[in-house]
Amino acid sequence: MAWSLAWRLLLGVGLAAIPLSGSAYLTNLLTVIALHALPAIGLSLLMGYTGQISIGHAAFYGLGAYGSALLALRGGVDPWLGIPLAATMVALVAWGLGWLIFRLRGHHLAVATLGLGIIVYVALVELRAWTGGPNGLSGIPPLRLFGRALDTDFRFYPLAWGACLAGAAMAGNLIRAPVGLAMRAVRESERAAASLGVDVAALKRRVFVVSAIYASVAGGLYAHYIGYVSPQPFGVVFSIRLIVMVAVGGFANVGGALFGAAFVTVAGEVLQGLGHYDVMGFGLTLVLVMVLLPGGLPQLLRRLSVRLREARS
Amino acid sequence: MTAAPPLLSIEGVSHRFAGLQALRDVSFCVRAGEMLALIGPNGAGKTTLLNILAGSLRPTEGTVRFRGRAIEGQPPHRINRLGIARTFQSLELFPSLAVRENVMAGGVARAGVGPLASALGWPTAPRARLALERAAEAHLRLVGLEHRGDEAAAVLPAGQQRLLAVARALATGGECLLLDEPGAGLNPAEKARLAEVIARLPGEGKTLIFVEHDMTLVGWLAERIVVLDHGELIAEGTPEAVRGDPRVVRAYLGEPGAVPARTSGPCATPLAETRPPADPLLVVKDVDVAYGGLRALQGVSLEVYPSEIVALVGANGAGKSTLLRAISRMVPLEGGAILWDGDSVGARSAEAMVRAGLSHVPEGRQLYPSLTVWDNLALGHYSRVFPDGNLVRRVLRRHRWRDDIRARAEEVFALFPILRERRAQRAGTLSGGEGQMLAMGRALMSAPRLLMLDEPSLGLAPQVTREIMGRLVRLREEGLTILLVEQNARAALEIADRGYVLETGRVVATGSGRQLLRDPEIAHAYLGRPTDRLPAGPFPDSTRATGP
Repeated sequence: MAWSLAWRLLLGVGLAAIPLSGSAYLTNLLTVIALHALPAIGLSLLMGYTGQISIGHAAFYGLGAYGSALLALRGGVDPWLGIPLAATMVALVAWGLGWLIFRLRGHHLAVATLGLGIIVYVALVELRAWTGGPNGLSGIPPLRLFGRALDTDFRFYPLAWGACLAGAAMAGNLIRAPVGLAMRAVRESERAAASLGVDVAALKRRVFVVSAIYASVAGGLYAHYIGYVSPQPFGVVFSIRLIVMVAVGGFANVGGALFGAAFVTVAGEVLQGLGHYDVMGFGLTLVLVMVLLPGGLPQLLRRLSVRLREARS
Repeated sequence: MTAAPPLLSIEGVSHRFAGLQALRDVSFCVRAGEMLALIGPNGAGKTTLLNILAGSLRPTEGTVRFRGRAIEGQPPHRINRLGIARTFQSLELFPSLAVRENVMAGGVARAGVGPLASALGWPTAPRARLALERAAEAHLRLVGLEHRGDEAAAVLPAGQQRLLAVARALATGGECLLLDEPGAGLNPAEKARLAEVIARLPGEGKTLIFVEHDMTLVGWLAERIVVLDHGELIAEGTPEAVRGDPRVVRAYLGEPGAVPARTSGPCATPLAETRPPADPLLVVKDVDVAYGGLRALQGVSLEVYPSEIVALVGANGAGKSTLLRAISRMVPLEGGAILWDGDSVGARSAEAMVRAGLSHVPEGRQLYPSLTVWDNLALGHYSRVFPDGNLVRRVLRRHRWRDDIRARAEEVFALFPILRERRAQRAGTLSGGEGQMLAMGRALMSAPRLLMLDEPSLGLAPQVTREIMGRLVRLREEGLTILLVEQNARAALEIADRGYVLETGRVVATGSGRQLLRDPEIAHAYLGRPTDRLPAGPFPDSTRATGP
């Protein structure tokens, strides 16, 4: 998790260079990476640091996107207000689900979030009057800043990365704080954490809410960036992609989740040739990472750097 | 001092698990600043009581008062915040967290900075973290682990892990500490070090209640001892008084003459004295076993000859169960060898050992509670139905295995008629004694040559124990070989041809059952030597690391 200064510099220079290159394709790809990294960071807090599995994070992403879009289209709410409003609603949903689930022990959260994911997806398809059904909603207004619409890749890019890096910084703060230690304690032994006075159920619920907010904000940004939402990108497949991102990033690793999001998004571009079979590619990646690199790709990089150092000396 | 109200009072506490009365009407008080040891044979209810005090269990009846307030049934985190901290028998450290972070985790619940303030980078969060780090440093110094703060908790040796668990409990700031077997698995030097740390705590204003099997450690530390047996408080007093109490000696070593001695028939004379020139069925040679950094067995050797009962006795934590697990290939050997029928078992799996004729009744029975008695028995026949472990071939080639099961089950029912009546009942609804009979019956379904039993009398009333021991004698007369692990040493040695006494992972005595019954070494292995005193002066410093 401790990012060396060199990595930060490299990231900063790289991120600045992309739009300056003038390539709309690259800028768009990087924007999408930022919008994927945000929910992946939230999921890393939940899965990696607190040890709770959610297979339904796409639902929070989708609710954030549709919520903010509907607020703008039906209520004329400014997106700057709509995104946090939608996130508040999503937080309430997550709180309620967490309130129900975390009284139980075990993997109930995984099953419940899988269920939520399916319910939300079906609702987005079937509630045609509100969601437009499979056709989705179009004409979603873009975010505006100083009277300028952030409606192109180049204009939206700084906002997407600003939000993403702010999210990463906040996640880092959380983990370094006493609460972060309590989260990791819960992951290692719930019995012991409770014996030290940690209200395990309440803590899990709070982290679940925080991670749902990450997904919801990213979903809202996505809706106002693309200007069009349909149910398809918010299905279980996206939830699984998010898990792959966190796994590739090494689970309890905020920077890793960012890296995992980049890896999976780029891999998605590469695997596009496979059509619908790309899911198999992601499944295979997940299996390989779990078996060969339980610490994710950062583990591979660390191993390589150790090798390099050894080879040099 | 006597006028002051007790810090903790346990009033008429009872607890029932399904089919087992774990605690019955237990009452006693603990004064502030006291060091109280909770002892008793395995299954006496000590950990159950500790779990009730810590909030992990709600007592079926009775009240627990802390500073005069009823606290029973509150969740563990709330009890902790009231000022009661605990350690676990299984430690429950946070293995991948650093040693320092483990101790810091003891204080996070009181840090008082919420997730929102933390995420926004409010300056209170880093300040609270710094305070935790400082407090952790002080607690690590107290237990002598300050030089290992940055290492992962998992890499510490067993002795230091126990110390770390104590430091973590101290870090919660609780004034009442519940320690569950703090000395388990430690070598004498580590125990002395732990005792030194614990002995200092009352001076820091702490009150201690600890469960411990090592009577040496208890003798060093305890001002007062409470003895539980079969869930009842049977004695309370100073260490000297309790050690001399005949009820306590009986609880540990069993009732004399509890089992009908074998005076007739072919077994009247123990085989050890008139052994025919048979080859041993099982030979254990210089076996070492370790769990992580914890030495469980050191150079243990024993033999089991066909058609004899061999008893393995010793206090809890002596390594008896580990030896059985090593024989049935469930834990790997660090050194030494095990020979079955003259062949080394080195490469065999646990399943292969069962097919070769070894049957192991584990401690706590391990029945399938949601299956019926009959299904539990049928599953015991598994190794006979699939002698080569090949499920597919068996399914394709039909076999009269139903008849086999019936025939075997008849033999089991002849031995334990009660099981025939309970045949359709779920195993989870059986009483403790019936459950033990079912566990033995299930083990017999594989038609074993050697039956290994781990604590068959655990949690059973004396007359049920007597019945079970009687059945073992009968099985042995029918030609079965039995290796028996028992806490109830007297019951086991009275039916055994030969016995071995284990103490902290070594064999300290061996001989015929009768010889061992008279051997004072046994009482010492269970209750400690009366001369045991906390060594004075500088403590052996072996728990300190020799540097990175």
